[in-house]
Amino acid sequence: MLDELCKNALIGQIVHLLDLNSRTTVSRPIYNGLIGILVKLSSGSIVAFKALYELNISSILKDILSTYDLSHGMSSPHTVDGQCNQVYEVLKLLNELLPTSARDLDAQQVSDKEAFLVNCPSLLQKFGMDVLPLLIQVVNSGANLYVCYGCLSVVNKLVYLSKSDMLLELLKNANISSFLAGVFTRKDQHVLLVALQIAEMILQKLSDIFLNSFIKEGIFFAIDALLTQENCSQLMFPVFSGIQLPFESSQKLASKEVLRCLCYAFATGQSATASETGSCKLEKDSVHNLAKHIKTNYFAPKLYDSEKGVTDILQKLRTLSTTLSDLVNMTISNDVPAQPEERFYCILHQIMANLNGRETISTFEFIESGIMRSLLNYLSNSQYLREKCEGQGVNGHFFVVEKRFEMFARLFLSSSEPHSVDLPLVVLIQKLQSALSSLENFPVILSHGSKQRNSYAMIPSGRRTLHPCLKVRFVRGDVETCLCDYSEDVQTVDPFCSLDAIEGYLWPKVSIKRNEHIESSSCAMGQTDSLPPDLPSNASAGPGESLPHMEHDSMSTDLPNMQEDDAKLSQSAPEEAVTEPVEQELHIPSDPDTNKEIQHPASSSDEDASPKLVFYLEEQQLDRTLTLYQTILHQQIKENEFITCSKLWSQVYTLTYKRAVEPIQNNSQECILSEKNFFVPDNVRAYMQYTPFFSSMFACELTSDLERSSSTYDILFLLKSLEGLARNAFHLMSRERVCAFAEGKIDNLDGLKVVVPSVPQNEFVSNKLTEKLEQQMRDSLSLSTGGMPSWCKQLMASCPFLFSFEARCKYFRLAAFGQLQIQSHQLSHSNSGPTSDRRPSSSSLPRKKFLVFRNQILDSAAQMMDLHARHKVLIEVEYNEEVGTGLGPTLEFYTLVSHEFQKSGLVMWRGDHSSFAPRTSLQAEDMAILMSPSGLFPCPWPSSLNTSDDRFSEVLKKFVLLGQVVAKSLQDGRVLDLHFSKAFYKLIIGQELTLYDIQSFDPELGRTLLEFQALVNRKKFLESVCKENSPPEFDSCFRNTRIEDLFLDFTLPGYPDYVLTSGADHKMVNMSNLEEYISLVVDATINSGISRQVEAFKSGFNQVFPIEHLQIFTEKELERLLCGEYDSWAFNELLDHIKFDHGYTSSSPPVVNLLEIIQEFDHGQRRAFLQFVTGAPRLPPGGLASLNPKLTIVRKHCGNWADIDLPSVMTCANYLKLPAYSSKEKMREKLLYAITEGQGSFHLS
Amino acid sequence: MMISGGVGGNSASSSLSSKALTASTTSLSASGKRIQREMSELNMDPPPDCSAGPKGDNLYHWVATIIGPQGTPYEGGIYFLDITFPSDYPFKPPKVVFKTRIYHCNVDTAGNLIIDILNDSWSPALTITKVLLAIRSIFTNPNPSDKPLIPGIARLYLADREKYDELAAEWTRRFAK
Repeated sequence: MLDELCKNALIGQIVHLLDLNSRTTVSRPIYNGLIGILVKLSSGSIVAFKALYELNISSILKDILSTYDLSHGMSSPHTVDGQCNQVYEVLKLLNELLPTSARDLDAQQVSDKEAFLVNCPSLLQKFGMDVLPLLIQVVNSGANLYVCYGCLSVVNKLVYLSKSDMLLELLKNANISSFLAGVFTRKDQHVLLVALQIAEMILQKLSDIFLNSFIKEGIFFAIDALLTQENCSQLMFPVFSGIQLPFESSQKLASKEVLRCLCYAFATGQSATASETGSCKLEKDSVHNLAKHIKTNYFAPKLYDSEKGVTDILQKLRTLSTTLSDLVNMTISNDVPAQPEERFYCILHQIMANLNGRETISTFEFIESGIMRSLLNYLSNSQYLREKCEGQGVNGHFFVVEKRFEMFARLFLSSSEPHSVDLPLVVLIQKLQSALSSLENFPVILSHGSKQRNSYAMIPSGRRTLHPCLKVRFVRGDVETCLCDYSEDVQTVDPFCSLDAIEGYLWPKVSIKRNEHIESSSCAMGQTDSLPPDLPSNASAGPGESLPHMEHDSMSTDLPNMQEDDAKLSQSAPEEAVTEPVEQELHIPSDPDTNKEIQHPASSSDEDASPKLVFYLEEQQLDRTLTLYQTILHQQIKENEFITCSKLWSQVYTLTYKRAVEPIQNNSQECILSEKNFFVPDNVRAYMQYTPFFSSMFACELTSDLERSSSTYDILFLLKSLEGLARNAFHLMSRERVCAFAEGKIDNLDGLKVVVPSVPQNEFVSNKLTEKLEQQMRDSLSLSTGGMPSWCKQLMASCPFLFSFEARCKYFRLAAFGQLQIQSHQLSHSNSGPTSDRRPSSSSLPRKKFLVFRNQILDSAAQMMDLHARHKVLIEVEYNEEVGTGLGPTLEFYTLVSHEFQKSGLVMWRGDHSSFAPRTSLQAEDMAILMSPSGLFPCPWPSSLNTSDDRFSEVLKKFVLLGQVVAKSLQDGRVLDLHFSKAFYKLIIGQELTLYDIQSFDPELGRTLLEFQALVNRKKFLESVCKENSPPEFDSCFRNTRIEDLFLDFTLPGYPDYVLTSGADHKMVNMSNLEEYISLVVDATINSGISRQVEAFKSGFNQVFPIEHLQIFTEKELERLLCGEYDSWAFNELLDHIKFDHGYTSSSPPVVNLLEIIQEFDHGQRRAFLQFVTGAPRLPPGGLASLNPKLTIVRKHCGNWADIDLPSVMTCANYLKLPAYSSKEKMREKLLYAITEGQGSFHLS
Repeated sequence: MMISGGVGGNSASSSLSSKALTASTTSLSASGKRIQREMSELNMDPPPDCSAGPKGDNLYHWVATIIGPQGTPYEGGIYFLDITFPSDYPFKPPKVVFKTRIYHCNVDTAGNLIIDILNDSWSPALTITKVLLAIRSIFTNPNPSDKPLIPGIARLYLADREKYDELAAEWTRRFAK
């Protein structure tokens, strides 16, 4: 029957429809249905089977797999009505196309099929070549368990069917060993069994070729581990002990498929009866047995020479890592070996050489060698391994840490061999990245297409929500006497509301009524007063003993818990202090005002805001930084239950509440803070000695979800360290030079200059984690960051660099505004290109029109912000006595405002000397736009100046306004044409600046200060060396000039009114007070002179949304975010969005040349080109596409002399008139001339 | 003599702003003191063929002259330069502009010149005396190889020295005498 069906070109038609290149559009369900038909046909009919092979189905399937947005497919792997998605169908088909006799059904047909393939090895080979690389890619990108299993079983069959020479050909480029090693980290038995089968098959056929690489990649190790583990389902590499929850388990079982065992996932129709029963076909010991079989048969011979099948390189790395650790420990225990620096250098150098060497190191070897841990140990001066850093000897310690980083940077940032392309650092990062993607196991938790439906959430404030609500019953804690019982019925709670919000709802209901309340609170006070002194003794005396009023058993088990939490809190306090406001940004949907309240929960001193209740879910105290939803997810994963959609929402959760015993936490936090404060203002010199980054580096924790002992934690921490190193490379290397000068290793001050090789930020991005975050954000429940598992937020706070810029932009919008266009359900699957997310989904916001007066832009802006800054409204601008409104005028307004802020005379920025310097004729017109090649940086105002000073308060107001405008433009997705310096962006994202940052906005001053510092250090060094001997013969000369002869006094350079210090010995700068001079100048420039302006900016910004949300960006990215896209215009984009007219078409040779030329432009040239053609250096958000009117290119007629003429423009119409030059070179020359000259004249006018 | 009208006009107009300056001379700023000191240094020991001093009573705006050194095509020419000191002098270099036209590969038509010590190699240890000496040295040794402002002249200088000398001498006659 089926054979008959297939004879009438049915298959050909279907294949044609499926072919993506045929450009027929079929809707998604039909498309899937078509594949489904093929699955059925090929399973039942040998004719169809052959036809498919002959029609070259594999290349079509390959196209589908590769163009298909894989992650998209995974967001709803099993929808409610049982309709399977595309990847799933494709995998089924692939499985069907590779028959194996393993399946006992219809044996005749299977063997027919097999025979067909055996007879046509070329078809099979083609099939394998097409499909295998993609399958491996799919699995490696972190596909869910079903897809993974499907891919593996296809690979398995492929390996089974191929002859050995063909297999070799197939596997040649596929790095099958590391692929399998990755698979072995999964836990599911089925997957493991298939992986073992593949391994066995390969070994059976090509043992001599693959045995070594199997050992190298750790497959042997993994198989061995399978055997040694008693419980097979728990297996993993012993070193990988930190791996937590497999992300499969959370994902897999969300629907009907759930109950079915994987055995049946890819079986077609015939086995339906078996699958109903749901029993697993897998025998209990099959994994174990197969593992044993492989070990004895294939690895046994190897075991004679090296006891554990350890490769040489692994051995070498292990030795190096232990040597390094030993050395670090030696320096710690004061038994300092001779010249530790040299020995460190030597070991590090060897490690680097090995990593970079010819012999490749597999991910497995890299992880297994323990090299990461010893590197961290080295960098942190062994603080990393210690459970908690005590504050002792902090200064000395930071010094060591920074020294270590310096040496590390010196080694890893210089390419030792000139021909090697990558920096050693990049190589190391890549190793870490691959280790990370093979180890990390952060779960992606999707709501599996739970229907959007209205439901009613009683808590926090009784309103309808668009998502389901959680059912919660509140129960009073057993021993609570100060609280009322609140055992009403089950309440519905908004899943994304924070515990604070729940408390806000519950507290009035459970706290004992008014008159009693005083009593109870005094009782509570009594408790809490007695607590702090009690607690330490309590901890030592054993819990539950010294607190008479908490005698109950459950309480005593809870207590250590809380202490643990406290400890954690205090450990991470420095980090916490920064991230806390972000964490509190949990949205209670749709009410911005109450939202605001909760967002600022309070410095710890604020009595009212401190939590009054503690919640417990199944005896576990809940983390207040999480939403209820996150908490429950957390709990569920921990219990390793399968999270099933329906169960999650239908289950009734019992929350136990107790009175909070809070002051302890406050105290510990305060104590850490005060400790920190103690060091910072201690002496201003800290600015030169320590880069704040490094001092805090090892004092913080990454995420609370990971155990510190896990390898993933090591990787993340090492990546974080390296990222900091790369970011601060200039500081580190400059410092290293300064030290070298001080010690006399370099003689010339010119030797202080450093060239810092740049490490591309992309290297730090983990594709796998980015992909996971993207998946998570596409989920329908991800309406706020509260709807995502907690690792998203934690990693975003501690290691934002792991995620791509685009993903972080989305996350930022989600976290800051709670709005993200949910447009992931694109119908056309071929269009999976990343879309620019610059354009906000502003449609949901209410619009407000605002009347602006062109001659008073700043005043208008100030009024606008007074009215609207605090509200989530989209501002549209219309000008007085002009008709137009909408996008154009609004964009223009933001551009005008940005220009207004850059005018001199406002005394906001450095380089604006109109107030201090004697005016030259050029500066006469007050309102010139400031020229600052390295970007705007706030100009210092004396810290002694009172804020009531008219001019200064005016400046502060301007900074508040600027903050408001910047925040609003981010919220509304507008572009500013403001060129802030990198250092100012750093201040915005809350980083501290150092001496080395000055060079980024004032190169001359920065360099000179650095040279002064080097001089001072040298003097100190000489003094320390010849303490006893004659006074140092140090010509304290600065480039052959005595310091006194520089004639500097104690005022800030460029700001004669800014007196740094006054005193008898502070008249003129000389060698003895030079160091003080440096500190004072640095402090005034980057700290005390500008801090109030920066605070003003931040306060303005915070009116719109909390500025902390920006901390996930780097200063460069922030600029991109604020000032629009200017980096990217793809060739097809150019063609799509440029009009050609009056003698040109898109194919005219001059046009082709032009497009090529502007494609090749560097950043500066593009800016110049845009400014030349459109009048503005930056493209509007959305790029060329949103240029209005369209960029038009027309032919300029100039007779025979085209090569002499220049291009010209009509800026108002975005019109470029281009002569038909004879060659591309000529055109480039003329164009460059025109745009550079054009720019010059623009600046002059 | 080719003092452009602009310079003369300027000194007149600057008298206005100089009132404020003279009022505060009692407590001169750091840069002011430093400039004053350099002025006296310069007067005591002027470099050969050079002279310089404040234009009017504005301490931050000077006029300098350099006489074309002997043995160069610029010989006998008198070159006027405008020097402007920034308010954060000596941390930033002074701005120097030729007011007299000159045929030179390191000086453009607007009189801007590029020498390393006025740009990247500036250091507070340098003084106006050293700057003048450096400028004088480019009369004798033009620098055609390192980013010349006028590539055409640089090429000619390298290719046909005689022609170059001839042109430079002619410009000297026309504009600098």
